[in-house]
Amino acid sequence: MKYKLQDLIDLQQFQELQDRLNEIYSFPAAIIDLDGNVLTATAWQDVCTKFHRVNQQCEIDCKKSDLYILEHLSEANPAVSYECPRGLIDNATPIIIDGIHYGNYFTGQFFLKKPNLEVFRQQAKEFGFDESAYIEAVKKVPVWSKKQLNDYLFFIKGLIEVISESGLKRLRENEARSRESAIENKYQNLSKDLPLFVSTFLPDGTITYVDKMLADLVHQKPEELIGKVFFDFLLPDDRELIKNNINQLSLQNPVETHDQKFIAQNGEVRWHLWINRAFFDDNGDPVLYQAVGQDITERKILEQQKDQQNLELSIVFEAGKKLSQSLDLLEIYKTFYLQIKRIMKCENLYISEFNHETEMNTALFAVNEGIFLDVSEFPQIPLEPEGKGIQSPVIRSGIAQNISDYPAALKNTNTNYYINDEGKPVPDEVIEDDTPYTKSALVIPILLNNHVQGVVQIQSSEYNAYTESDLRLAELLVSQIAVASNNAKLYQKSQQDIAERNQAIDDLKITEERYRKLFENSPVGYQSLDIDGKFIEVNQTWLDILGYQRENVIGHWFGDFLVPEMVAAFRERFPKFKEAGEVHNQFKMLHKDGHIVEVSFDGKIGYDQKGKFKQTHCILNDITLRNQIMKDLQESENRFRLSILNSPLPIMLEADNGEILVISRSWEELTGYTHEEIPTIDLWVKKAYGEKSDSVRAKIRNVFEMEKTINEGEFEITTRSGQKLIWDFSSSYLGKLNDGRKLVVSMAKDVTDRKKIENDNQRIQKELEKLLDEANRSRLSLLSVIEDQKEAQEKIRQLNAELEKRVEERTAQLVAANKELEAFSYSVSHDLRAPLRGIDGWSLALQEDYADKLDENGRKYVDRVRSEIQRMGQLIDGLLLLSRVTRMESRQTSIDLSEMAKTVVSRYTEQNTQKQFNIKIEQDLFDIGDADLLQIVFNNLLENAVKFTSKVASPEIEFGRKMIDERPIYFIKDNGAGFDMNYAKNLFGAFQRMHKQTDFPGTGVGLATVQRIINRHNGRVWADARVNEGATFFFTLWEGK
Amino acid sequence: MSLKTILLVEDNASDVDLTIRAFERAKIQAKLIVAEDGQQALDILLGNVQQNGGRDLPALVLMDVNLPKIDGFEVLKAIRGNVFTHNLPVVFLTSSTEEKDMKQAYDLGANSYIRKPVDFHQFSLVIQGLGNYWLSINEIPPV
Repeated sequence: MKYKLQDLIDLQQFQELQDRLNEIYSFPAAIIDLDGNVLTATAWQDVCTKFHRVNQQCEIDCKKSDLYILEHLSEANPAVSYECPRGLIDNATPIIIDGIHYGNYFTGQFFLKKPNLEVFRQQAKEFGFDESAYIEAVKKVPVWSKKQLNDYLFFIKGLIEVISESGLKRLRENEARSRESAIENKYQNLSKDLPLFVSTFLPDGTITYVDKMLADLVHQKPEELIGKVFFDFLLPDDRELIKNNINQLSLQNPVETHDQKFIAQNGEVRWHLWINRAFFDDNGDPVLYQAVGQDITERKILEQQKDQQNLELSIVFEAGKKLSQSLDLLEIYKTFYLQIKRIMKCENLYISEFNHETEMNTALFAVNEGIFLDVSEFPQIPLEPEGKGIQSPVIRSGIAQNISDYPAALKNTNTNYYINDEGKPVPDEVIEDDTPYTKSALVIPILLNNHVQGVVQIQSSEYNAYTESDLRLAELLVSQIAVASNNAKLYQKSQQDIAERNQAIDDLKITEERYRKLFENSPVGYQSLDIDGKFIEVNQTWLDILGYQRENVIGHWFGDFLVPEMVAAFRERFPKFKEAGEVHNQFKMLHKDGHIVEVSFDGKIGYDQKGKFKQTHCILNDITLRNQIMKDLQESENRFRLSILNSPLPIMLEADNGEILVISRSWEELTGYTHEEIPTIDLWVKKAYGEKSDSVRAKIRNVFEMEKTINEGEFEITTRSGQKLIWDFSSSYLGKLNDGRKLVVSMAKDVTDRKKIENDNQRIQKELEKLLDEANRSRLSLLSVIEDQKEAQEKIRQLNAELEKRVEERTAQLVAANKELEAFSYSVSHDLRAPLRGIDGWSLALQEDYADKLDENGRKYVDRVRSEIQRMGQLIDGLLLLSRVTRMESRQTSIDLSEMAKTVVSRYTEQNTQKQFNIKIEQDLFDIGDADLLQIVFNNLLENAVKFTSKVASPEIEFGRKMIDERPIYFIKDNGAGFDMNYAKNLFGAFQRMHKQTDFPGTGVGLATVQRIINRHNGRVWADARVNEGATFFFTLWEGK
Repeated sequence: MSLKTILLVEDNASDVDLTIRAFERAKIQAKLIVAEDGQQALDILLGNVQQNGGRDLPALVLMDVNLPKIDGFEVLKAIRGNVFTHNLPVVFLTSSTEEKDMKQAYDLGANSYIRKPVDFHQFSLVIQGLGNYWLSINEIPPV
């Protein structure tokens, strides 16, 4: 059983109903389902619950009673009853809904006759009940009549079943609905596998067919779309283009395909591939277009992603290269801005430098809505307190932020500036009312040695403009500018230093005096020692470098200013210097505050005019800075190496001698080979390409000849585990290493999955084409069927035409024959009249003139001749009328049939005065017809009616009209002699008579005439009659009009 | 008053006799002249005209349509084409029931067109009516 009773019925509601019924009828009842669950119940009688059921001995009987009822349920009508040994009645009614037994309705614990209290007193004793309480309980038990019980049971059973049935219906409806939606789901899933939209439309765009998929797309039903215009469903931008594409289709080139953007009702952008095919008629004019579409959004997205990723990668590398090439800071920033703009939204860009001592931000570079601003007059902006501001958290943490709601973030700042019309920042204090231009931003720290050097802000006027991937890319680029700008700064400084130093050395060669003077104010340190190594002279720069006052230096030994471990070196070197006359050296000296200053010395010995040692002249350079540069460079290289190592893409740095310098971890993870296992290109190629390694190796060699990024294409590589992967390689030449080796970076993208999707797409494409081919074939075969049909139709048409011609010929022949026949019958009847008149005249003459000469027999014979002549005369007249009726031209007018019938019938009844005719004529029956002809109809039919009722005691004649299917049928009814319908086959043929001439004289052409007249009125005439029960003649006029 | 004359143009001798009988039966007092074909009829009428300027023309011409030699319509045309016989009452008494005959008869100026009933009694009644009307009631201008 599918449902339970409680599914079908509101039990609580029913319980309430039952309680009410119990109140009214004191009728204990319960619904118990087949599992024995009590679904509803009202109070049982105390006599049962407090006495019988709790007594062990009694309860056995109670259970017997339960069992009996259950076993006999099938006999229930409406209930099965059982009188328990205690004399109470129990009842159960099965609840059957739609043929299924769901449960039972139990009633019981009542009497069907007044209880004999004596019996119950006896029972009280027998089972040991408290007699007075027991009798009290017994008295409460209601007494019902059998009829009352039955009525109640039928009522309650019906009620349950009606309620349940409606519940069942509701459930089934739900079920059907869920089945329907399951089918729909299945269909939708199915259609996802090979989603095709199909439509056909006429050259003017009228849609003649649309499949459900396509109709769903525009949220309509296929039948609603038929007759609408196909182009109306295209995006306005596409409409003309597609119309144009379709118009250019020709017999030679009947198919066009295009990708088309489609905006779904939920606003989602989908891409569809459409294949439009034109079908042409014999003249080469298009007659029908078939559009078959496929959703290619996923493929499109993949392509776009691929393009985007390639673009991003190339930008990062190009930018890196450009940035590292440039030593001009402004150039670096501009490059950075231009590159960022290529890969993400960037209307504003700010680069600021942060000074940790002053805690001030200084603008270095600003672009506002695409315009480069002069930052020299920008105010310095202080670092905001902990937890405030936009840049401050980034400066404090060194972690980049993606701010998706910039206005909201601005509310948490103390100071904000906006750029005024002159391109100057001005403090903005009314931010509450004014939504700022910037809606989202990336705030990225410029990090060098893990120190925040400044901040880059990339801003957009849209909310949520940046993704995490944008942030990652921007960080990568910012790290490039960090290194590049630092390099540039250091370079500028060292360039300057070197230039100055060279100048100094050159000058030294000229004169001592100039030398000294020059170095006195030289930016390069200068010192002069005496022969013992004590200071004679130092210049200001020297003092600046080492932090001393001149008086603390002059006269002191040089060794005292060195770090202790270098003093011995000085003692050793100084005599050599004096001997050699010049020196190029490095020392680690002690700054006054204790820190070590590395200096380089370039010196010469100054001689007096006698050529004896006079003093030393040395310039010294603080190379702490230079070493720092070297270290920084090292670090930047490390960063680069690290960024390669951590790159999500497989990246390899290789030298042209075949050494693999670095491979990224993703390279290692994807291939399963560690860097140690593939230290050279040769090894890598051998492992990854196997048999193809030679050709691949040759290609890689070519890479070193290139000077720009090239896309080498897709290669199938084999991983350590033997898995085949498809990698899309691009390489770029990075320049030369210090040792002169050429350096190339190769990046790969694992496109195995994409390749698979592409292959799938190609497969789907092929299937699609196959389907289209099939459709075309079936169309062709359909066309040939149509062609055959056309031929057949042509044949039929020809046959019809022939037939028509033949019919026409036959009709003409028939008309001619008819005319002949009529002419014949006319002339016959005409020619017959003349001699007949003679016979009549002369037989009359005989009768009149010679009656006395004839005996009785003779006279009788003359009488017979006379009467035969009369009959023949009538016959001829009838025939003449019949032929005239056919030939006469008819004139249609509106006729009062009732009036006509009345006139005619009275004429005939007046002739028959010995009878009292009961005439009934329905008034105001008007119709269109030829008055003369219809007059003949009425003459004939009414004359007949009068004639055939002439022998009835009370003749009745009726003319009237019946409406059948809203068409009038006229009838003339009499209660006369009638006739046998078995012989009525040829009732309306000429010379057919139903009666003996002696009974009812007649010619047998009257009804034939009637039929001809009615036929001329496009009507029918028929009769219904029974012998001695009268006849009814029916006729209609203008049928089928 | 001299007996009025009726010219009966009928080729069927039996019909002539029957017609005469019908006149007798109807008690029409008239002199009956019989022409057996169209030519004869014209001879009688136009001969009369030539001899005495049409003074003894019949009071009525009763004529069948189908006649030997010259048919009834031709005879009628001739009658209407002559000034003396121009107003002569001409009644077609015929067995023909053709409507076109009737129409042609009237078109050509027949005064009446009567179908001969087959029943002699009725024929007698017709003749009686004819005689009464054309010989007693109707008047024509003098020649």
